[in-house]
Amino acid sequence: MSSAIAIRRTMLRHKSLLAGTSIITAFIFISIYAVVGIPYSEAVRMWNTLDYWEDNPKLAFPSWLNAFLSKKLPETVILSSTDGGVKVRQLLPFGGGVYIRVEISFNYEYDDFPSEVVLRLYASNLRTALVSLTWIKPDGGEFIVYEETISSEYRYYSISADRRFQTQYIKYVTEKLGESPSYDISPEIALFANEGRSILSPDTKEVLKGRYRAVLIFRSSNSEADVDVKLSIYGKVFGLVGTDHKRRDLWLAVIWGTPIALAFGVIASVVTVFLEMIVAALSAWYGGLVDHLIQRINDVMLVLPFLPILLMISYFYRLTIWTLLIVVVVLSIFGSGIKVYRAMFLQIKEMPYIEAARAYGASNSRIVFRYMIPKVLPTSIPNIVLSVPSYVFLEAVLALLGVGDPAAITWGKVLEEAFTGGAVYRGYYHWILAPSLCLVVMALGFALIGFTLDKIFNPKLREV
Amino acid sequence: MEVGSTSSISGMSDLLVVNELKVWYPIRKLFSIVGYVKAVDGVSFTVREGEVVAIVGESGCGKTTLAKAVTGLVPITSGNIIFEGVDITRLPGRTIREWYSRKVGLIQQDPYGAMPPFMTIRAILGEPLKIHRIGREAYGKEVYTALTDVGLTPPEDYVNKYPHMLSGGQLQRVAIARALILRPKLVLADEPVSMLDASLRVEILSLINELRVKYGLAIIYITHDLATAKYFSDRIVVMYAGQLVEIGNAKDIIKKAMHPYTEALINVIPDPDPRNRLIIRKTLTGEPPNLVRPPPGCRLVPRCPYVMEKCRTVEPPMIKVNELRFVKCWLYGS
Repeated sequence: MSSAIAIRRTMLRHKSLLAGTSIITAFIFISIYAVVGIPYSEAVRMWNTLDYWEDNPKLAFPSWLNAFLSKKLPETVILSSTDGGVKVRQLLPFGGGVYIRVEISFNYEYDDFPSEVVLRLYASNLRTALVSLTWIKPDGGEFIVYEETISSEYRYYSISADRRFQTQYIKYVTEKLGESPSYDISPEIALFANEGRSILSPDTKEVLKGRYRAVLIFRSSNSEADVDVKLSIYGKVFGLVGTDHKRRDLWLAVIWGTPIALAFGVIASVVTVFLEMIVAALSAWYGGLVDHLIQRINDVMLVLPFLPILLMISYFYRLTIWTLLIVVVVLSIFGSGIKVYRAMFLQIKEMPYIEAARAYGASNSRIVFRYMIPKVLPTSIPNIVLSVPSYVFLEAVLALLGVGDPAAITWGKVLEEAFTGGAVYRGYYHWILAPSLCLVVMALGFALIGFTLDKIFNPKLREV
Repeated sequence: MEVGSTSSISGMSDLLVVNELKVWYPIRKLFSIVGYVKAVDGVSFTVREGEVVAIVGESGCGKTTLAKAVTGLVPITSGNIIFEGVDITRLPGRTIREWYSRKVGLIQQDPYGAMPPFMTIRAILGEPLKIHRIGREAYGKEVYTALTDVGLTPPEDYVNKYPHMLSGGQLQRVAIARALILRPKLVLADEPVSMLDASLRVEILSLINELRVKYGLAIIYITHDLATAKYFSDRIVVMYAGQLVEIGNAKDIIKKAMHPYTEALINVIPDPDPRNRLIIRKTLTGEPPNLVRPPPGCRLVPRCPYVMEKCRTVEPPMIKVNELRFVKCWLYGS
């Protein structure tokens, strides 16, 4: 009870501690939400399965961006023969097969063109079928987008990638307006633009708002045949943090990146500091040959470069995030930390209370673990907290360098994909900013706590 | 050498016999040993059961090293320390930890440094019990008894406190409680009051004496203050430059010092009588000798007012004055 009050008082006195603790608590809640909501194996499976994300737009910005824009970016519209469509199935006389007409109609009221339009057909019992898609604009203009004989059960047809339609449409516009457009009209623009003179220039092209209709005609000689249609009009915004190049919702990476980053950083820093302390204490306490041996090993490890060794290990062995953690800990134990702690322990070793402990029969291991390490623990707690973000960053850096778990969902992995996907130069800032902001805010949280703890535990620093 | 072995007279048995003890600290340079600091250089004395022996000497004369050697905390160069008939210099470290450390308690000079700052008083007092596996159920009771014994009552007020919450005097009481909690036979008190407030010294010494009577302890009281040694101890051993120079009953030594060094020590005991305030007392000039290369003869030669030719070349032996009195000086023998 009194300690709770003391903690509260300390918090109120040091606002930075309060801020830091709030940040880290928020991250902890996100972690709990992630771990409880989606089991890790499930999350990894989802993350690495492309089909799961087929209804999401590629490289979409966060939805809340629309709140700050005068021209609203489109959301994704997914339509199908069962949802928003009307399907009519007719058997042709004299066993002539089947005729199916699916009409999908929807309102398009956004100020910008969609990012991609995709048609998916799920047919059954067909030998071959003739399929055509007619597009009817709100102003009554209509044209056939697509016509084809299909023979497979599943047909993925990206209108956006249809070069043939594009050239045909440009020809059509040129004939209609008597002037050729000054740019390559992309299929999305073709489908949604006002076909006035404004379409001729990329700066004046505008969306024709209103009710659109898409009519799919399906004819098969097999009267058993059937078809379902999904028309995806992918928008340019999605979710809280947008999507990446594989249509994946970055929100999943943000929330599942949190527990991984926390676990990696905290475990690495706590284990490293404790092992450093133990090795340093043993070195200082036993002295002589043991001390020499430990210090020489340490000297060698100090000289060896950390990153190249890690890269080399990653080339020879397949590292998961947890084996990477072990390698990082092993490589970071030996370093300047041991020298610093050894210096402290050499001083502590000569303290009268150690002599007293030896006089009443304390064993060597008891002196090291019960008498020496607890003495330096308070001064090392700020260090532990402060080194957490450096390990989180290290994980991100390693992911960026291609070291690490290819399956894991980490912020570093997202950054790496953003980097290879050219996110910055193509203008997809959300892709970089989501994981980087998480990293920076987490680092800030730990730094605020660490520096304040440093002030509390080492009051001599307060004045400096 | 029969020095100090007086068991036949008192009828009490010798608890501790220190025989020709040498503790030399090596001076290392690079990979070789270039010399030794002869901190304790051939010391012999005995402590009988229930007896208080004061070891008196100035700073740097080797008192503390002697205490550490007797506690088993520093490696011994040569000689024997025989405790209850067992030579502890030949015991393996494990036996010293498990057996000898229960029999010998240590009270240190600095009560603040002697306590691990991160443990509560309960944990501090419990540590020796835990190490020597004294039953769990007895544990709490022992701690309370120990605190009551040293006058920290009620013990409940102290058990959950940390060392920094207590005063120097209280901490020294805790230190005494810790030294006695394993019911040792012998307690080494290494200047137990020299860091305390003057007003507390007698109190703490009386407490130690009280507990000595209660538990039948033998005490080696190490001090540079002959005044408290006289008040507190049965016998006094005077130490100078790593060697013993005079051994005798406390009263006899204070009444009539034989060795010039003892004489000088007695001369500097503060005199409470204001009429004597203008008397200029004789003090020794000069510095104690270098313990790396001590002079060939008597070690007091440069400072001794009675120095003779013989003193410079031949080291005086321990001369037996009577059954209880020994002095290492050429003035008392040839």
